[in-house]
Amino acid sequence: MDSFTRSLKRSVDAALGKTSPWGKINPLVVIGLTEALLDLHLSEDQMYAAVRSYVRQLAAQVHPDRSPTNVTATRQLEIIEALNILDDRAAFSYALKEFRELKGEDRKELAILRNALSNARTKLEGFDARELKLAQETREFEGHRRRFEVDEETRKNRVVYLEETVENFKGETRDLRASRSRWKKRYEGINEYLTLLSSGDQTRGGGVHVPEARWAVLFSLILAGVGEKRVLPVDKKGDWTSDFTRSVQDLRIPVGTLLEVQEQWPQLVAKFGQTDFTDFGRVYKPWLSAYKLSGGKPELLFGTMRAISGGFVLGSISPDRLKIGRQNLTHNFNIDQLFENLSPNLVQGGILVSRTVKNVKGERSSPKKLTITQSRHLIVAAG
Amino acid sequence: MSNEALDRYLSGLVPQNRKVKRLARRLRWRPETAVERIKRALPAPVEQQIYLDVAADFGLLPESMAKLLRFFMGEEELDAEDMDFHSIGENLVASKFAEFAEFLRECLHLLKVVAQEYSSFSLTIEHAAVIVKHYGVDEPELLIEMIDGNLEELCELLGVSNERAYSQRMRLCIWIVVTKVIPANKAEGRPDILDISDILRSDSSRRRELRRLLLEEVPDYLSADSHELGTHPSLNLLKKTGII
Repeated sequence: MDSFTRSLKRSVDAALGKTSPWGKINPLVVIGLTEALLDLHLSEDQMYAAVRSYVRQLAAQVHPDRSPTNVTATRQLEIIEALNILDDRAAFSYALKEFRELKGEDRKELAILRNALSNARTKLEGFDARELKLAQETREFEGHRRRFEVDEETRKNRVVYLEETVENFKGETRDLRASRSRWKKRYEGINEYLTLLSSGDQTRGGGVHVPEARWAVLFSLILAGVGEKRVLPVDKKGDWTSDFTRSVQDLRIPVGTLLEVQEQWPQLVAKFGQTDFTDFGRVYKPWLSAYKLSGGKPELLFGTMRAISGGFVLGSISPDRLKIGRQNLTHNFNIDQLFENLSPNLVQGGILVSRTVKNVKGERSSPKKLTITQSRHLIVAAG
Repeated sequence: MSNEALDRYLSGLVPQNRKVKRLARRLRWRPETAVERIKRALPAPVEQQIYLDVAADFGLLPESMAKLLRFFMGEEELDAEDMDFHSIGENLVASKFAEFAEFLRECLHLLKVVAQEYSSFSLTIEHAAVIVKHYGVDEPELLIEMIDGNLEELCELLGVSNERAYSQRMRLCIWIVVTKVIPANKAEGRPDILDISDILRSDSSRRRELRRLLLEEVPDYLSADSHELGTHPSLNLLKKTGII
């Protein structure tokens, strides 16, 4: 029973004329009994007997006749009054009921459940707080995860991009190495060419040194239907035509050499162009041209201008260095092959190499803009 | 008249009783009016004495005490026998008076706490009684605190504009919790709500039901003008019962 109820009860009892035989304090409490009394499982009669016996002993202990020194007079009076009340069976019963109500409060199941509920609520609050914190942490984690995924995706793309870049660089490096190798070979070839040109050495590779050469007879395959009328050097019997002999008489070509050329002509025609042949839809015909050379500068004597259309003779590509085929008479040499194998000597059976500022049609273009390296005429003889 | 008889007389329900005088002063009534009102609302002497003992301190009207008593006791009245303790088990005693006193104490405590903490609205006696009955001495004011703390979310759930006055929204939310949610929980065997999120997390059908109940019973109260309020049937009821 709480203080509010106790006070209210006392007040209402007083107003209704109901007064308890004791004052404010229950006599069982006065004599110092605790709620442990209720756990003895005694019947009310047994409890009455036990309490009565106890309160009598207590009263005897504190009775003034014994002159106790450790008990105040007020306390003596309270205990003796409690004895008087509890001695009465009906009053004891009433006091016990009130005592049970007073001390029973803490024993009620309700109180136990209330405590349990309070604990549960405290725990629930704790769980709520944890749930809130976990939800917040989950949100943060989700954010981190999303950022990580974006970073991961970016990283993957970057890796792919870097791998592609590395592959490109590798390819470029390979190309550059190949290019370097080509340029190196070209440099070496040109270096050798210039060395031979400056030294005038005709022993290496044989032939006639270009600055000293006075004439050259060339075998060519010229596109049919383009240019001037075809003039053959030999007649039907196989003898030199008068046009040819008249054209080259000033060159003082040795007779043996001329005969050799005369013998080679049908062989060359048989080898490269006995009959007209077609290459990618083009029709080529064999020609023989004779040139007078002066310091490498050609002057046409017989044949066609398109063999060497102006410019300068640079030298030749010896058949020792590269195999000469029909293809080489219809197409220029690859520039790398040309510079790697160019010799300043005009070698019989080799390919003549010249530079010109005119195209195949004989049209002159700007020398600054276009220089043509020609390499499609076979040297039949040179001197 | 002997002194004892005089004391008895003066502690009864008479204008000379100092408790009656104190109450009349507190409520600004004449003592005779107070006696009349108390007699009319609380015929039982025990109930009158209980009222006299607590009313002056809390400014409680006799009709309000009657509401609490009838809510707790039903049609039964407290009499002198109910003051005694009866054994209900080994070492367990109980009395109707003690149970009602505990209930009364908690109701008054709840009303006092709400009046102190929330000056802009007041809790009705009926609502306090329902809350105390369901939450007992287990800090019933926490329910009000929870409603206050989640007022905006609760109003959104109920479809009540948060632009309305705080006092209106509080009264509405307490009303719906006390008169709809708690009884529904009891009827369906669910435990009383320990957290207002139990309502906020309720399924959509329950939310719709709460909104419907609100629209059915409250719109006059919310949207009525002064004339409507002045002629509202509830006023007639209050006048008829003598409260106004």
